[in-house]
Amino acid sequence: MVLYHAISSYQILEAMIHRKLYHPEEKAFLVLPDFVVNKLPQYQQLKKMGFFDELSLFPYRQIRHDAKTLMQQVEDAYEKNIPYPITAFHTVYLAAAHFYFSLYLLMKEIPFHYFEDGCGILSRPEISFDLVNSHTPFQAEWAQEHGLFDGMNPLIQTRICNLDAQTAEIPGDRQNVVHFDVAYALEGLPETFREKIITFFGAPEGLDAGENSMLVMTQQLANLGRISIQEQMLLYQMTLDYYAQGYRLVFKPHPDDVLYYDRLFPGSLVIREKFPAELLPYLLKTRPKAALVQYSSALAGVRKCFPINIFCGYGIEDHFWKLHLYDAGLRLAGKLGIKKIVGLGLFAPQIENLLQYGGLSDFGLEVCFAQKFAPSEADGFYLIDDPGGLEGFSYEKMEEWLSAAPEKAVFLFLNTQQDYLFYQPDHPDWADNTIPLPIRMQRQEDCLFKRQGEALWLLTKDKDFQNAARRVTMEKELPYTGMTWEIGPMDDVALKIAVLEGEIAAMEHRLKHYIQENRELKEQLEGQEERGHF
Amino acid sequence: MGILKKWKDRIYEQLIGRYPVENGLYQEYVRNHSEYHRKHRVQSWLYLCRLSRDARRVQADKKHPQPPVSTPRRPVSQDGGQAAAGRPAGKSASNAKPQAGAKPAAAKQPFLPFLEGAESRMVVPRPSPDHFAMTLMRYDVISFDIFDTLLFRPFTEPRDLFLVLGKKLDIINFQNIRNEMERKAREVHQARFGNREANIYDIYEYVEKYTGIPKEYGIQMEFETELELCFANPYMKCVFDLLKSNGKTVIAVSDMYLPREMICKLLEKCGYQGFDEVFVSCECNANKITGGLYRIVKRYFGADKTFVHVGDNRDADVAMAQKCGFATQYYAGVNSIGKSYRATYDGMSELIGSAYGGIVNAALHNGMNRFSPLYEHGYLYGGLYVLGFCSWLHRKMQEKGIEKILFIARDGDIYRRVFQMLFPEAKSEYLLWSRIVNNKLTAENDRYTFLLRAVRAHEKTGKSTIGEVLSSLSLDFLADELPKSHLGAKHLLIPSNGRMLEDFLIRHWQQVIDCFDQESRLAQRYVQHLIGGCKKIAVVDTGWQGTSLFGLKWLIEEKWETGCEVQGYLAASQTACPTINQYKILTGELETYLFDRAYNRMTYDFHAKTNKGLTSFLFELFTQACHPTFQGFFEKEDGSVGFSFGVPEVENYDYIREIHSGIYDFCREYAGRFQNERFMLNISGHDAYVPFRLIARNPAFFKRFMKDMTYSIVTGSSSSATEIETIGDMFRRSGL
Repeated sequence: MVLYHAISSYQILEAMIHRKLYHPEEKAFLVLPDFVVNKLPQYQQLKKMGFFDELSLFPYRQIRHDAKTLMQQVEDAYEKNIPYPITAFHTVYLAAAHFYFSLYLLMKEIPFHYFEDGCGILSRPEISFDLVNSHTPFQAEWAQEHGLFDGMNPLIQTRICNLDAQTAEIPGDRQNVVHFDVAYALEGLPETFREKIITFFGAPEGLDAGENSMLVMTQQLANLGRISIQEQMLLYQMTLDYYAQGYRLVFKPHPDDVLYYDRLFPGSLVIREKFPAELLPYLLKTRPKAALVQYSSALAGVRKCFPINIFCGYGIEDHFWKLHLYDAGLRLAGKLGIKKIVGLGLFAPQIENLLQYGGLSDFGLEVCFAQKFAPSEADGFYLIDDPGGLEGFSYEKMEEWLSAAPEKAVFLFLNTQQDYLFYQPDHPDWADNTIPLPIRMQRQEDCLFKRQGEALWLLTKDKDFQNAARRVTMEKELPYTGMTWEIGPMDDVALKIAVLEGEIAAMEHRLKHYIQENRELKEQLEGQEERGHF
Repeated sequence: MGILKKWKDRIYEQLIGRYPVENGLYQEYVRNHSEYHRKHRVQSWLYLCRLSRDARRVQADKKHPQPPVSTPRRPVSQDGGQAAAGRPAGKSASNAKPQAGAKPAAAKQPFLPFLEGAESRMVVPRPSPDHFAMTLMRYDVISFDIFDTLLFRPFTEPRDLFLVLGKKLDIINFQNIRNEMERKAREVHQARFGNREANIYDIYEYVEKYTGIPKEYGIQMEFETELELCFANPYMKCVFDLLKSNGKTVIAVSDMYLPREMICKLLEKCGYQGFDEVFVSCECNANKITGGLYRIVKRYFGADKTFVHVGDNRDADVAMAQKCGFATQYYAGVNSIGKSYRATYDGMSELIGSAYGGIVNAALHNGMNRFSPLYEHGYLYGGLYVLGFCSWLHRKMQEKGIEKILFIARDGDIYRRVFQMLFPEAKSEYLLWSRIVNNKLTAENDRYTFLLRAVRAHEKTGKSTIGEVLSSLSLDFLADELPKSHLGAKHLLIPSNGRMLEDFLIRHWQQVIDCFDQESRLAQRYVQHLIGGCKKIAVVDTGWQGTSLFGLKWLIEEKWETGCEVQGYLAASQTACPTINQYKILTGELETYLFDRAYNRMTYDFHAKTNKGLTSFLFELFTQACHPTFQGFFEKEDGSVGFSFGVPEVENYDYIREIHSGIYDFCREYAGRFQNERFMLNISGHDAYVPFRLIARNPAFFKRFMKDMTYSIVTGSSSSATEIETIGDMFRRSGL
């Protein structure tokens, strides 16, 4: 007998297809989580329809995340719920190995085959770790320690993954990695079996997305507690304002994402039925022209089905609110005839998407992302967001660079962190070389975007460039978000006021930094005095 | 009598005045049991002694920690203090009336969440709306209670809406009349139909009979008032939208006298579109509390379905629903959560207290947002006062024909922003001014105050040199003359040489005045530019003596002869010497909103006597600004007026922004809710102060959340590093 363990719809589909292909004649036992009764109330059909011979629910909801009692709990849970000893299974396949069922195998030292957590995730185990860590840090730590996110546990015989969907180097020895493409395998199955799968998942057939549509597969970010529900709304509103103009929207929310996309995006189609994305190509009458997801893994299985695939990038929840600043920065560069940009501290996926899908292709811009902070003496156009994380960065080095920069070098600061990196207190004439470009906004009453007082800051000694930048006008309406932003010329008085306001804000920021530093040093000194170091 | 009073005050201070919490408890007792206190003075004194004893124990325990001591029982009058509080017995937060001769009830010290953190985070943490929605999605039919669950009214008690309705109908005592008529209607309904589910038409039959108000008119007015004042619970609105979007069957179930059609309109007006059904007790002749309404719902949808009900009443929405086979989700009412911590029940007038409580409870406890302690500080304790003050100022403008208001920096920053939001058509300006500028420019007219602020204030700290003091007053040129008076620029200014410095300045008085004159001319240009062509203006400050107001009045009316009349308004007046400005108040030159020596005297006394005299300081934390103290005027190269500022206390700016956000949001919310009932902005000074009084009794809050804020020890001077300390230092120094 073979045993399969699966948690998500994707993993259940994977187990169904894998069993069909590799163990069609053998008895197959499926272990599901007890909470499947809510997500897939029809789970009993897995047995009735013959996908598996037997199945059991593992009581994850009752297991407490307690180091002292975990092993006993897992052992009791196995013995109460699985009618066979583990040795009765000659082959064990685990998907979602970071769930506690694997602990039983570890305790009994039973080797098993490991399915990657999601399509393409094996090369990005940190994504799985982060998702689990955001709501059960104990479980994440435990699974990390036992090599259950990257499949490096010594009991793992093979690591089954979609090699074509990996976006980075797979950790560890490639020898035990076996390729398995669920979407490809599904395609190769008899139509009757596919129909059975579709019937089991209750997936609606004949969905009409319309001629010019974009499929949006959402993530359950608010549900995971990574952002609030209002922030999740805003994330999709802003993202789709930039990448989905002109498309009819088709939403396939994550099973744990309950956000009301139909109300946020009137006229859109929302597919609420819970089924794996791999089934979509068989359900849609007209295939969408584009697909938009956060992580590439969500689309990895079906990306070939859509001419355009947009990946917002892992960590988009920390950067989406800068979209208009990134857009304004790139547009400004484009309008001023710049072709090559060096980016420092930028969120690369967002830049790449804007260049490709955000209506900026006419400018022919090329962005090169600096991997470390290495001030250059060359002329160039530098687009700067948050370089604090770059190796070698410091306020002092930035200041030195700016003051020594050649005449034609141009620095455009997005100032998203309100840290005023352009401020050079030791060079009183810095303000002469600085042009603020305030972003004026008009918002509807229910607009969720609340930030105020944003501006781009252009620093260059080239007066002609300064004057040209001052004359630039641009505007963008964001209908889903409910706001319009614009940048336009200012008279000399308004410009001076804006510079002074920026200078005051910069000084404030710098002062707070020094006060905090001073406080910490004082505490250190006091601590040392108490310990008798003086 | 004067000596006796002095001794009495001293004894009071020794016994209890210096313990703010116990002092507050005693004053509350006196207020709420005034008649009893008058007749049973000895009992009251015994209670005072017990409070004092326990306060001392608490102090001792701080040094040697011991198990907590309960607060002593306080004597209570027959009606539980309700008559003094102005509420009919049985309507207040406290419970049964004590029996005659019964031992007095113990005064429990409530848990004060704001001392641990933000109330919105501490008290009843709710799941996020999407998690809550997912919990409900397991069921076939999801049912919601309506009032206090889906919909809020901006009051702590729902029937306080009738107070507003009474104003619309212009019938005094309408709330009680309306309640009585409803009781009558229900009794009759019970007799006729065996249940108490009278509807609004039944009720207004009696209202018409006993008041003469035409029934249809009365119903229309009441419904319009509900439509105007009810608003959606943002948390439940989000949950509702999530459920509907996910294809769930959602219904509303209410024990209510409004018919279904009206309820549906109310729900729609508040943004709830798409209920599958609405069940109302008065139309179904059954209610939740007896279970009949639930049985009707089940029959309607089929007993094979699974049901869950969400509501705030433990009996009707939880216990009875469960008995009828519903799963339940208890949603604790925002007012039941917040009422223990609200100043509403601490002596506020009923209508304003209820509106204040209703609005803050709804904002903090609906579950949608979590705020910071500082934001809540502004929202809960500063918002009502700023709102009331601005509204009062606007009325004064209209009454006195004032054309423009000048709000003095830095306190005026938040005042002006709120004022402009409330009254965008009224003219106002933000006037850069400060004690130091006022001191200099009015020295000619008020030499004593000038010397007091310039010299004596500094000599107390002993941290400034004479040279620094002269420099702060732009009198550096006098430094060379100091040796002739046996003084040195590098000498520290202390009491023993303070008088010598005063004499020195007096001897050089004309030079001092001449020096300030140039600055005065620059100030004149600036102020006249702000005044424009106005002939009558008002100048506004927080407190406390009104020196800046008097100074500006003298400058504008007399020194500069602008032809403009100046009226002065303070939020409050309280001075170390109580007689300082009494004649100014009596002549009407200065008016105060919250209190002064002769007006709202109990509030004045509380303010003056608590927290070792630091209550004013704590009060001013509401009205700082994110820029440094204004130091003075100078002439720029191009001849225009320049402004110089002191050292920026940037470490305070984030605190200030949070507090101001809270204040502004409260004012906007309150004014928005009552935009059609502008009389609700007529908030008395007493009511406006009560929320602050609650937090002022608990200075631990300031110590915990604002201890790193800095301030200048000496006002009216530039701040050198040696004269700045933190609030934490101040608390340590004062022993608070």
